[in-house]
Amino acid sequence: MFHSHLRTFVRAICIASAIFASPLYAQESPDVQSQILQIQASLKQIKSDYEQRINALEQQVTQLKLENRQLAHQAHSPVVMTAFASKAPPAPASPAQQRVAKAETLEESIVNKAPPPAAATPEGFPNLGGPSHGISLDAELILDAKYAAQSQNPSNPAAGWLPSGSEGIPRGLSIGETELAFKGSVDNLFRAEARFVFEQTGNNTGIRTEEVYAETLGLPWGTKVKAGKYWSNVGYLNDKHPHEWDFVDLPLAYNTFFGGQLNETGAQLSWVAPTDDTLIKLGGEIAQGSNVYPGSFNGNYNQNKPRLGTVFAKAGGDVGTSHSWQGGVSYIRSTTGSNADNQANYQLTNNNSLLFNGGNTTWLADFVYRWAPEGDATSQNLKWQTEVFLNNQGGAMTCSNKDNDCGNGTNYNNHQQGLYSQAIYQFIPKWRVGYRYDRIYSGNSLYGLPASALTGSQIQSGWSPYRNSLMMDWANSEFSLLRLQLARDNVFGSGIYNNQIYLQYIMTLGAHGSHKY
Amino acid sequence: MTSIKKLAFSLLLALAAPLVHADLKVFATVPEWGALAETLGGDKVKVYTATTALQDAHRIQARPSLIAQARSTNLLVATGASLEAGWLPTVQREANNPAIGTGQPGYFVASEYVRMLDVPATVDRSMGDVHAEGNPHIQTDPRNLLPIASALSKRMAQLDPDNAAYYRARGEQFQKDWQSNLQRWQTQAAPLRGVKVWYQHDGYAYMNQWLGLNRIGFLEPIPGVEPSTKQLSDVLQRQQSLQGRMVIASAYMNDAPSRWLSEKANIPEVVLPFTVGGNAQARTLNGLYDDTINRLLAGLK
Repeated sequence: MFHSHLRTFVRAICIASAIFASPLYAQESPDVQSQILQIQASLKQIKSDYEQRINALEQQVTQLKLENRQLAHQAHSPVVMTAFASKAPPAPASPAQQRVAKAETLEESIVNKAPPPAAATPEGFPNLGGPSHGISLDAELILDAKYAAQSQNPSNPAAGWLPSGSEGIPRGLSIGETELAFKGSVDNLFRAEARFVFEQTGNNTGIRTEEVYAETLGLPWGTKVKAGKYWSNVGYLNDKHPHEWDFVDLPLAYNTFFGGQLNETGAQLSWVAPTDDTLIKLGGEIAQGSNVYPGSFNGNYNQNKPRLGTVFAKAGGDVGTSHSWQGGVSYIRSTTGSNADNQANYQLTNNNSLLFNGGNTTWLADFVYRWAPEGDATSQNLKWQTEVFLNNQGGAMTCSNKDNDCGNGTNYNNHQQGLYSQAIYQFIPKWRVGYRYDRIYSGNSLYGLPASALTGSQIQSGWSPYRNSLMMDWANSEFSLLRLQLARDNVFGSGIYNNQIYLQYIMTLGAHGSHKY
Repeated sequence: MTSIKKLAFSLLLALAAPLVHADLKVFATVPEWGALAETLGGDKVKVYTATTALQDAHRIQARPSLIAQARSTNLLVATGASLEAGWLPTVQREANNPAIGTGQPGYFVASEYVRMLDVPATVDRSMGDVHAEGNPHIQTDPRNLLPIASALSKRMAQLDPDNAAYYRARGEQFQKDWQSNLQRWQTQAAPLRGVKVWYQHDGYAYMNQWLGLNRIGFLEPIPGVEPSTKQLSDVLQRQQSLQGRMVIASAYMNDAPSRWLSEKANIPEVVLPFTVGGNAQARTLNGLYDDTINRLLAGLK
């Protein structure tokens, strides 16, 4: 009975409210209409209130995500972040906190507790900024320590050649070069990289800028511009960092013609052809020419006009799945400029110094062949590389001496050549052996000077030394390497052999390196 | 003179202009994404797969041919999670192709669409080849292909809007087919639930979870490091009490440690294809999971 009464009552209220709320009735009674307006206004007020609250909440969520991401990044790359993320709070200590830290976003930390992947199906696009790992600045620290025993003093001058500025490996224990690199995208259009080298000489540590450059990421038609200080893209070995070398030292030809590696401050334009299977790459560089390249052997070049230029072409591809190759031809040209301040200055061991005015041209051909069974280099692989240098220095020398004038030379052209060939064979996982043959040909030039100017110096006559090197290395992982190298050369003159034993380790910390071919 | 200039100019244009193709050129880092891209893109895509099932995707050299292929690619499909960290950044940079740079729509990272397993709380290199982002071998659980395929279809449609309807249709068809495949595989694989297995390498975290296998340990002491004889003997010792039913290796790696344990403990060695093309039966995506389950079931007998 009570139920039926209640039902009737509810029905009556429903009908009444339907009638009262109907617009027809509302039009007839302005009082009700104003009430409705009031209700509408208050609804609007409520709506905007909630909108504001939701906005605030959204902002909080974004803020939290950002913080979480920073924490996550800290957990991901401890080496980088502890040193450089000044804004990030100290590393969380408890396991629970760490678990929060590793989750990249709030969503992920929620998803991590959710059922298996099929159930948690993320749909559509994430933001197109790639994985959210905070600001990407990769840091890499490379340690390189050596022990060297040599039967000759490596700081003696090489016979038959003008000093090239390259340095031998010191005898005994040395830590050589410690390399610190930072790299990352600047924004959507630029990427930058900086590498500094801490050089230990005796008890002194010096810092050298090895590479500092920016390059484009967005140029069309397969082009790219790179500018700053960098290792030139000429040849094959020239742009490889010391930790990528297969031997402790550089080939003689690099030391002699480039004074190490051609590393210049300048700009590079490169183009990759739109081919599918065979890589074709062309490029050119202009550079200030203040490094040790023979035609510009003077660090004080103070002119508007860059004085070094290169042009290079490379091609490469696969033959089947197990073989790959790359070959290239490069041309390098520099001039000293006519200003006396910019001349190259060579110190001879007979206390004469030679001032060079002219230019230098190098043609460089390189070829690399690699074998990896089925394209998998993990257990076994072979790498053969060879490079040939044709060098021509042309111009005039002036001989000077603090006591007397030792002569003005006439124009000369000195043709020199160099080559090396090396093979590295990984016969079982982690273990590699390698052999390298080196030879450089000086020619027999008087550099346009009277013979007396050169008497008693290292270039009294030409000398074409050779070197044989054997190496074996063991890499526990891609980040550590121990190497033993035996070598014998006669760069200090006829019949003067330098027998060398090197022990080296290379340790890489930080960001995962991605190496070139 | 002007005709030479014209000729040179047109030659330059011909060389420099991006190839006008109706096709979407896809560069897949590993075979599973190559196969998926072919399935989803049909005849509207041209797929290049950078590695084979016999290669370790970790340790690929940035060969000139890879750079040449990446130069005119519209869509780069990678696993991510640092699987390709040793070579892909070089390929992306050297190819001078802005379309496939990090953060561009032309760079598709599959691991962004699935829930990652084995995400470590801390990463230290002394732990071996551990990935901060989690275990990258996401293809070993076919359920992961549903969200990845859905996102990849959409990405193809975004990059090639003229064929958007085509990609959508194929994408929907794939989802349907895959759901029924999953049903079938899960039914077939039911006897594998709870089975104790050894793994040579930590490559099957997702499969292990999918099939409910009981992972009792790895032969590798830390990821990416081959076990020594001593470490293998320890595993054999533990096998006495743990009683694993089989040891699982992959087609792409040297399975000597697994063979050794198989002989010593007298349990079957199961060499799984790991990805598309890992063996003669795993030529397609379907074949990959069919063969994986068949081999595991055969290991039970």
